[in-house]
Amino acid sequence: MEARLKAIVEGIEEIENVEIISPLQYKGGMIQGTIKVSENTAVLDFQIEIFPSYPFKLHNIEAIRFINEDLLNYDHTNTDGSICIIPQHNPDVKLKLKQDLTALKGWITKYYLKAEEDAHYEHILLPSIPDGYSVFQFTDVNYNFSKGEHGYFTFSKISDGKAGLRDIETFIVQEFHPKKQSIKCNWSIHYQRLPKLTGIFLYIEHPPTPIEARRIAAKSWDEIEYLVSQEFLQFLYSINKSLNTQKATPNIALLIGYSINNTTIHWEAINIKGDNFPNYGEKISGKFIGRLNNQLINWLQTRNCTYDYFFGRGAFHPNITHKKILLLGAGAIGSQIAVTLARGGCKTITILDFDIKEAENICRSEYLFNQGVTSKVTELSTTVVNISPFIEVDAREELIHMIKMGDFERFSEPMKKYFEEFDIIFDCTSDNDLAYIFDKLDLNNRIFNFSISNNAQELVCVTNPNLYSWLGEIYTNLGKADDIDLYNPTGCWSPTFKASYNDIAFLVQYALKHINTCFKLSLPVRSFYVSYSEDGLTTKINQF
Amino acid sequence: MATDKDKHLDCVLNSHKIKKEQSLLDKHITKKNEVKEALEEEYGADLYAPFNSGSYAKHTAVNKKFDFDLIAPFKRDAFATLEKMYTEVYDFLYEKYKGDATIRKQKVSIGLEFSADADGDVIKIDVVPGRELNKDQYKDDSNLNLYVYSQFGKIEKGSERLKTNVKAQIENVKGNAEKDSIRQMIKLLKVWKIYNIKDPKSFFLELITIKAFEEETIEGTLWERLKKIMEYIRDNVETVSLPDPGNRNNDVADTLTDSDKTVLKDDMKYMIERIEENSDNITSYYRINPKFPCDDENKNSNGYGSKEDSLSVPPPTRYS
Repeated sequence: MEARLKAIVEGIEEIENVEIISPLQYKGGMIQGTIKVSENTAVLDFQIEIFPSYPFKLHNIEAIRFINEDLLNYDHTNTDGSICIIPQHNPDVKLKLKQDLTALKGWITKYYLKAEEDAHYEHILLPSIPDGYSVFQFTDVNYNFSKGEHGYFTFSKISDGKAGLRDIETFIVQEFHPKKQSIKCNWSIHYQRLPKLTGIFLYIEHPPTPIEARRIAAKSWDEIEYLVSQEFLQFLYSINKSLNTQKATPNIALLIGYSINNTTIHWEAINIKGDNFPNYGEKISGKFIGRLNNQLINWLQTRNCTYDYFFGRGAFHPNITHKKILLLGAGAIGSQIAVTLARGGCKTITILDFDIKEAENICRSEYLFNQGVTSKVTELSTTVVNISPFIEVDAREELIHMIKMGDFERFSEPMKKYFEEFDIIFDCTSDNDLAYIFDKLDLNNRIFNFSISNNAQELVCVTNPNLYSWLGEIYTNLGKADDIDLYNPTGCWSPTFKASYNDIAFLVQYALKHINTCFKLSLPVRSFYVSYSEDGLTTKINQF
Repeated sequence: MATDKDKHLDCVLNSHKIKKEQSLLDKHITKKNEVKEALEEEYGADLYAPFNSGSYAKHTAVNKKFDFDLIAPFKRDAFATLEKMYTEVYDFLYEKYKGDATIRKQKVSIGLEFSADADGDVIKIDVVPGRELNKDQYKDDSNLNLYVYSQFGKIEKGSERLKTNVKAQIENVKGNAEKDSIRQMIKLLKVWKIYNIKDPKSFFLELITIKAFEEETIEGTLWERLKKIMEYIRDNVETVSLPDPGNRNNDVADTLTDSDKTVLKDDMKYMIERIEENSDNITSYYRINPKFPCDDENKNSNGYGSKEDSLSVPPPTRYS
C-alpha cells in the first residue's frame, strides 16, 4: 500500500469508535472509502473523501469530506450531504485525522442527537448552480407581506461579472407591486433610478422546501404545490397566456419570499422558462383546479443585502451612520474620510469642493486614473455610491465659493441655517477662513476640522467651539508655524505637502477610529492630535 | 517659546475683572435696584429685604458672562403655597416688564433678559422667590423654601420644594480664611468653563474648589495652586460629596451624573497633561478676554503675551 494511503488508514484505525467498512482507495486522484462512526447512541456511516492537499486545506475548504445524504435535513450539512465541520489546523496527517473525526463526533452529538439550533438562521440548501447564473440582491422594504400575497416586481441589472468560466449577472430587486401598490426597496436614490425589468413574486411565509423536508429546497414544482394558492396559480396562468401571444417568449424571474427568524424576509429566485410554465389546469368535479407539474425548478441565486446584513460585519456607531454629514474638501483627507464613512454605513453625506482632480492627486487620494480629469465631487460621489447602495450623496462645487464671496454679515443667518441642517461637519479644507467663519456662525452641530502637518508628522482634529484659535494654538505650539520643506513639482502652480497615501490614511483612520470610540463610549470628542514618538515607531492620541 | 504660566494666569484674572466692565456692571446694579424696588412696592410687608446673591455677591464673578441673582425672601404667610408664590411673582414681573424684557420660568428663578440698550448691552436678572420656613424666623436663620418649577409633571414627592440658605452659601466663600485664593481658583475654572463651553454648574466648581482647600494644602504660585485644584478634581470628582452649605441634606455632587463626572475628570487629566507637555497650551484652556488684553509691561517679559492680545492665527502650514 502506498505510504500516504497507509498512513491515513492507520490513522483512522487508531481512532476510537471509528471503523473502516469499505476499504479506502485512490479514485480520481482522491482517497475514498466508507467509515462507521459510533457516538453515544448514534451509529452512522459516512462516505469519506480525502483530497491530495490533505492535511492542508483546499483554498479555504477542508480537504476531507464526510458524506451522508440521509442527513441533509440536519443543520450544518451541504447540498451534497457532506457535513460542515470546523476542525483545527494540524500539519500531521494522523493528528489531523484525529481532530477531524473528533469534530465530526461533535457534530453528531450537537446536531444529530441533540438537534440543537444555532442562534443564527441557516439558509435552506439549493441545488448546485448551473454554468452561467444570475444573482438577485434584495434589501429591506417598509412593508409587511401577508401569506399568499403576489404580484409583479421590478429589478435592475447592476453588473456583468465572471467567476472562473462562469458568467454572472447581478440584479437588485427594486419594487414590489402587490395588487395596485408600489413598495420600494430601501436602496439609495442612485440605485432606484436604474432601468427596470419586471418579474413576479409570491410571499409564502414558509421556506420553499418539500412538505417533509426542512432544509433542502424543493427540486420540482409539484413539491411546493402545498404552499401555493389557487389565486397565485391563476395569476401564473394569466401571465403564461399573455406570453403565448408574443413571438418570442421571454423567461420570467419569480421571487419567493418567506420569513426567517420571524423578523426578516428572505427571498429565493427561480427562472421560469417562457415557453414552459410549470402550471396546468386539472378538471376535478367539472371545475378546473390549478396544479404544478413535476418539472425541475431552475433556482437562481439570491443575496441578502439589507442594511443590517450589509454592514453586519462592522460599521460606525449609529451616532455617525444615521446622522446627516457634510464633508467640506475632497482632497487627500476628505476623500479618504468620504470612502471610510461610506464603508462604515453612513446614510447621508453632502460633499462640497470646488477643485478639479488631476492625475497627481491620485497617489494619495481616493481617486482613479481611469476617471480622467474631472471635478473632485463628481468622482468622489460616484465612488461613494459605488461602495454603498444605502448612502444618499449630494455633491456641490460652488458652495464654498459662495460662502467666501458673499457678504458675511448679510448672509450669516441663511448660512447658519444651511450648515445647521447637518448633524456633523467634517471640514477637510485646511481653509483657515472657513474655520473662522464657522466660529462666527456659532453653529450648534458638531464640527471636526481635520488637517495634517507636512510629512504627515501629526494629524490635528479640532472640534468646535473656538476652531480658529485652537488651530492657531495647536499648530503654533507644535512648532509648525514655518515650513519650507515642500514638494515642488516642475510646472506645478503651487507647492504641496509631502506625504504618501499610507502616511495620510493611517492618521485619518486612527483619528476616525478615535472619534467612533468616543461615540461608542458616550464620551465627548475633544480636540486632539495624533503624533509619533521621536523614532517614529509609536503613535499617540493627545486629547485636549 | 515657553509661556510663563503664572504670568498668563495672572493676566487671565486681570482681563476678566468685573470692574473692567464697569459700565455693564453699573447697568446691572441699577436694573437690579429697580426690580428690587418694584418688588418691595408690590409686596410691602410680605417681603423681607431682597438681596443680591450669585457670583457678584461671592466675589467670584468674571466679566465674560455674568448675570445677577436677586433673592426675594417672602414671609411665611405671604402666599398659601410655594407654587402660588412663584406664579404670582412671575405674573407680576411679566406684567411689569413684558414690553422691555423676555421673562422666563426657570428652575427656581424667574429670568428677566432685558432687550439690548443703545450700547448693545443685555442685562440679565434672575429673581429667586423664596419663603421663610417658619413664621418670623427668617431674620434669625435665613432659611428659605424655594419653589422648583418644572414644565412637566413632577413625580417624586417633595420635588416641588427646595430648602436653602442663600446667605450661608454666600458666606461659604466669603467667610473662608483662604477666600482670596479660593476666589482666584473659582474664577479661573469659570473662565475655562465659559470659553470651552463645559457643562458643570459654577456652583459645583465652587464647592469642589472649597473642598479641595479643606482637604489639601493648596499653596504656591497661581499655577501651582490651580494645578493642585485640577488634580484634586481629577482624583476625587467621581467619589466626592459636596453638601450644599444652604442645606446640608442636599448633595450638589448629585447634580452631575456619573458620566458627567468622568468627563470632568478627563477634562482635568488632559488639561494637566497638555499644559505640562507644553506650557503654551495653557493659553488655549485659560483664555485672556480679548476685549481686555494685558498691558505691555506684562507682555514684554519672557516674550509672553505675544499672541494673547489678538486671536491665535492658524498657520498656512496645515494641509489636507
